[in-house]
Amino acid sequence: MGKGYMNRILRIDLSKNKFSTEKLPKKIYREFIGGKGLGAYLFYKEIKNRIDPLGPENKLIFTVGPATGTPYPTSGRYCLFYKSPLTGICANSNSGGTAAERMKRCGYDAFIIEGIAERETYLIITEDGVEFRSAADLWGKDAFETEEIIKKDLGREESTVLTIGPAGENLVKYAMIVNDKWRCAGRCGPGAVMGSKKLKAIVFNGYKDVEAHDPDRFYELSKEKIEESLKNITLWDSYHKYGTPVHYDNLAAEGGIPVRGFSEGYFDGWEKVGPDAIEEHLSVRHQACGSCPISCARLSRVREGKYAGLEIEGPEHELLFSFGSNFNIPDLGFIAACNDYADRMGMDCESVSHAIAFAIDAYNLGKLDPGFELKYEDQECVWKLMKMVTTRTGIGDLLAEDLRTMEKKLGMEGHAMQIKNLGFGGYEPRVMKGVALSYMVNERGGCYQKASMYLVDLFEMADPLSHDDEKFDLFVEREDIFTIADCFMLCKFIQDSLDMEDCADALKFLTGEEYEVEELMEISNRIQSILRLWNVHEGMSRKDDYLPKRCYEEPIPNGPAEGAIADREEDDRWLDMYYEHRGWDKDGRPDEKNLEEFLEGLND
Amino acid sequence: MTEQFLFCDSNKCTNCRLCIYACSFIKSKKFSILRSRIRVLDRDHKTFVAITCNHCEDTPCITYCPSKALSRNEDGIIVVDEEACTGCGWCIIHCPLGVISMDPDKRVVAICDLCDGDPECVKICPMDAIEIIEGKERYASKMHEIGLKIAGELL
Repeated sequence: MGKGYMNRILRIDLSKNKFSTEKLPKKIYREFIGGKGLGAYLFYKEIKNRIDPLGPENKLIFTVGPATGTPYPTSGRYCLFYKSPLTGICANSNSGGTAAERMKRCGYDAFIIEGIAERETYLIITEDGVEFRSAADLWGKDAFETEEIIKKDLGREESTVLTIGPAGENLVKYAMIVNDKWRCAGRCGPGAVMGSKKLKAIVFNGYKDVEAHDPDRFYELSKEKIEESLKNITLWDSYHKYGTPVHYDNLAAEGGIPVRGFSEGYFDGWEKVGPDAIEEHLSVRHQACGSCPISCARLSRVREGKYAGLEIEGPEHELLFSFGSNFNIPDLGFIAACNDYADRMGMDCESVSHAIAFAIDAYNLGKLDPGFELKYEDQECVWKLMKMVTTRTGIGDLLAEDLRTMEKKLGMEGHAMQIKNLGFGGYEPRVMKGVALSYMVNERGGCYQKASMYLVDLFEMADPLSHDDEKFDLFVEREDIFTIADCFMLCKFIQDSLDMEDCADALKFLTGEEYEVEELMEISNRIQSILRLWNVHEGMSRKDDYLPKRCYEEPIPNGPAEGAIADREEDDRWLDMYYEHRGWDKDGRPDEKNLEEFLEGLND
Repeated sequence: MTEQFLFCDSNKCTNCRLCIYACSFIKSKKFSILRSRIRVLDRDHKTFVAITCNHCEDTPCITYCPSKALSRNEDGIIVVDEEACTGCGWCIIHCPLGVISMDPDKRVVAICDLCDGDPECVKICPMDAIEIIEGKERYASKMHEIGLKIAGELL
């Protein structure tokens, strides 16, 4: 393949302390582009079904895109595939900050890390290869300390450290990989996979150039897209100004904020943690990931109260849910402090919030007795449990597992608010029907990131509760464009102002490869299908695509969306439509023979 | 002509690094760290600032160049004589800001030339953090303001 790519991948075997460079056939770049596409291909080819996610056969597959390291706006993200120790199915996580560029400048489009190291190790990856170093002194350190120590030792500028914290070392099933302090490959537990490999950190330190096929036109296009994003109301006036919490007011007005373990419909005091409150009480200045003109992130400083002086990047929307509404605690200082703790320990805020809420519910139902009181609205209770999870102490050992294991152990089947064992993000699926659909069909489980349907629910259709076919059409349209933009590893935020023609243009100037819009749609479809197929081989089928029992049986008891409930018939209708659209059978099975033949053909 | 300086406001800089790509593209048609004449410093992922040549009064780069390849032109800009430069890197070592880069192919050093008064980094910066400052006095007062802001944050 040509420009835009580094045209090689790096394989690192931790069991043997060896690394090797490989080339991929040109057709694979053509058909999977890069980023999520290339990652999906490598994932399907490399990671066997039915393996132990924390065993030597699981692999961490990092990919970057053709636009990584260029000024194409928001292209500074990396993608990561692995078998999830949390959900047992396909997982992909991604993260921004400075990581993606440094990865690519080492000279590779993908990094496959396999095996298990004999003892605690960290890796330094440069253009010259891989150095395996002992991480004995780093084991036990939190993610921030680890980055600081490594950077000080190394003394090199232009390096990014990906690291796990104690949660990853202790195999907390939803441990994250952290970079640049506050940027994380968060959900699905990649930190536990790293921990199981005794891999504490990976340093990327590269200087290679990235070239474009038609540099002048590619640069002009990038500049145009930057200009457009600065003029775009959604991007500049919303995301730039307020970051991810921007829609919080609208969400509160519609009753879309999950409250008290998804048991209530109104978050009393939401305005104390909403975007205006953040702006007024916390924000210091904007920060950006690589190549991003939007700079949605903000450096925040807690100015008063118990946590005064604490500095974090954020809090993002998900933190307002995880440590705010889900525990019914409208306190920005507390949210910021939990944010800081979860990042340092390297654990996913949404999953730990689900686990703690589940434990509180179990306690209230008399199913769990840790010897102390568990309750909502109680900061001390949250702190205590969170710390027990990090070290897997007492009931923390159970809370560090996945939600289904908790359900089984405590005899509470159907209680956890999850799909495919991944707890929902900060949108109530009984109210936000578009978000619910993306929870249902996302290959990694209850995640809304594939189509950001909250925008459709809240604004484009302005009716969260509607089950209209128009909403379905918007979902599949958005899923395709998001998937292709994920192949460049662009941010979810810019994807709203992009269409398939934009992607085709960028690819033409960047790589010299010309794509028809139709072809990009096919590529998107194929990516969904091979990931689905991998999950089908793990035993997933239509039965796993529904919301949990509680959503169909318990209506929202109060608030603006009082009475809202999931409708199984409507969900069935949308699932039928979705499978048909993707070319899968009634049970949600893609055509395996067809896909296998296609993949075979790529090696010619 | 009045001497010009590039100035980056650390209160606006977000570490997006677009200026680095713009600079390397304009000078080499590649998206490169090595070929960029502007860098972005990142202190603790909290404070960022883009820096480039600020044409020191006392120019150690010129003083220590063994090949006499560097000189200051009438606008105050440090100019590299590519024929004379041997790529020894002595100026890089002596630059107090670390903002001299080396073209790895030609093996000659490169220093910010302000793009003939219309710098690409200024044009691409989405936050308008980088600007051209005219004259030494204005540059000094800008620096004074930044000093006060930083002191304010430390207090």
